[in-house]
Amino acid sequence: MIEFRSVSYKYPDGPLALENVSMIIEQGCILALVGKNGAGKTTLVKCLNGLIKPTSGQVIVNGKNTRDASVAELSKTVGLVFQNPDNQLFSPTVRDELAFSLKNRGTREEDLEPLIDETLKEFNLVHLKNRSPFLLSGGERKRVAMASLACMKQPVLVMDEPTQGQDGTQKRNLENMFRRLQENGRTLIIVSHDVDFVARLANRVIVMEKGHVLVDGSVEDAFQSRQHLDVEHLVPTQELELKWFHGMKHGNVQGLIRMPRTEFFKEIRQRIR
Amino acid sequence: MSINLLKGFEFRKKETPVHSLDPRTKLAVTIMYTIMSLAFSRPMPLVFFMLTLLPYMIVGKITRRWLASMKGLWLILSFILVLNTLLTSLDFAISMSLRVLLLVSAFTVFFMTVHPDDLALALLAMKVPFSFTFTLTLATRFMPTLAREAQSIMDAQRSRGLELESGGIIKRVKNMVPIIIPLIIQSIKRAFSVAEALESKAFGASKHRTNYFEISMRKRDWFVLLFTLLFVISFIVLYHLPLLPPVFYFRIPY
Repeated sequence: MIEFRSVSYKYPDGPLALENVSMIIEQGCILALVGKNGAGKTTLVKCLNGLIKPTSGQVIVNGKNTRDASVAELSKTVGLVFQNPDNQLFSPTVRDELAFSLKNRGTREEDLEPLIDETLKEFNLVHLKNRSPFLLSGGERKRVAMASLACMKQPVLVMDEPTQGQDGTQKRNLENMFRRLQENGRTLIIVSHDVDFVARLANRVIVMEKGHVLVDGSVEDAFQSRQHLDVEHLVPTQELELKWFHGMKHGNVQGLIRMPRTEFFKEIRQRIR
Repeated sequence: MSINLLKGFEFRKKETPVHSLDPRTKLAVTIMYTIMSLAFSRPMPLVFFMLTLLPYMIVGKITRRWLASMKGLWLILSFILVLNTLLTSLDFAISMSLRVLLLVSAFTVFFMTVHPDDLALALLAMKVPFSFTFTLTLATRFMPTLAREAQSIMDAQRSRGLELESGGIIKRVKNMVPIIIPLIIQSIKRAFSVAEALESKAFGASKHRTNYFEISMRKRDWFVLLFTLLFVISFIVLYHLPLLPPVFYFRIPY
């Protein structure tokens, strides 16, 4: 469990990025952090593994105050995947990239290969195992970056913009994989602007604005109408607008928001007929 | 550590008398400080010149940022101090450390108060070829970006359990590999992107460029320039005669 107790953070010579944020993140949930640029999302997730120590307040991760633990120590509990995969890739092969994280964690040499193979399979990267990460596409590099953190098997995994650069198929694969990770008891925190992805996947949505928590609730609470998204400074996708329109007509907005795209279009087709 | 030092190249717009000086004046003052730091190898003149830089920083409202950027210099200064003390003398070691401190400070103050575009205008006014001017200003402009990027890479690798501050010197150097490789690769990628962007904006298509802004030397620029020049010349002359108080000739007896 993760707890934020009245957390505030001010960048040196910069703005107040977080102001009096309090929340509890339960084990095993998929939490989506949304909000416009500069809302404080990245600062908040950096507090989770101690990269940022709050100016005031406390962040408690599995009973441990992040002030009293090093980033290396916290990285065993919280895995943070950065938005730009190029910030972390440096090894000659994808396999070595994963091995680097595992060795940092202190994994024994004989346990490396099974863990690497298992993670590569999860992230649909088996065919790229011996390729150089620098020669992969943006979407593939992003998946390598995620895999290189996920292989460490931390109970909490934080992903900054995981769908960036992913095509439709890969987005669906990621969605399924994140669900599997959740089923295995891992907590997932996703920072994303992808409203559809968040709507389908998240158990809980936190909308941030100017360092504050603006909305904290279910997907249905956060994405229930255009007015809500306007207040949250989010842009609805055509799919979501269609769901609102269709739901209002038939009095079932709440039930449609999470519905997968294929299922939703199937229902529309049936109604049209 | 060295990230802080790179931040010393970041210009921030401020309304101060130092910021409003002509870039050529500030460049000349910086060159004079460079000459002074190289001309003296005793600690006290270097301390004195370091102190004369302080009012300049206070008026320019950059003291705090200068102090922050100097934090990135402590490792280099410690290295110079220890190595020179072991090989020569404490007096020489302190002088060399002060020399580096003065040199870096003078250039930090310059880059903190001169906008890269103004630097380009100053160099063009001094008849420096545009391609050279542009390369220099572009390099200066990307220093803070490089610092930010290095910080992000360090954060990303620390999130993977990399401990940058632990172990002996060999382990620490080895730990820098996951930082340096992504930094080099991203810099090369950026260089290509910038080159493509420049070509798409017709860089080099015309030999005769025009500038939207123009710079001109005002009375206060000439005053600062002449005052600094007279001060430097009189100090050198008085020091070598020698007519300065004995404290300027003090040597550390080791």
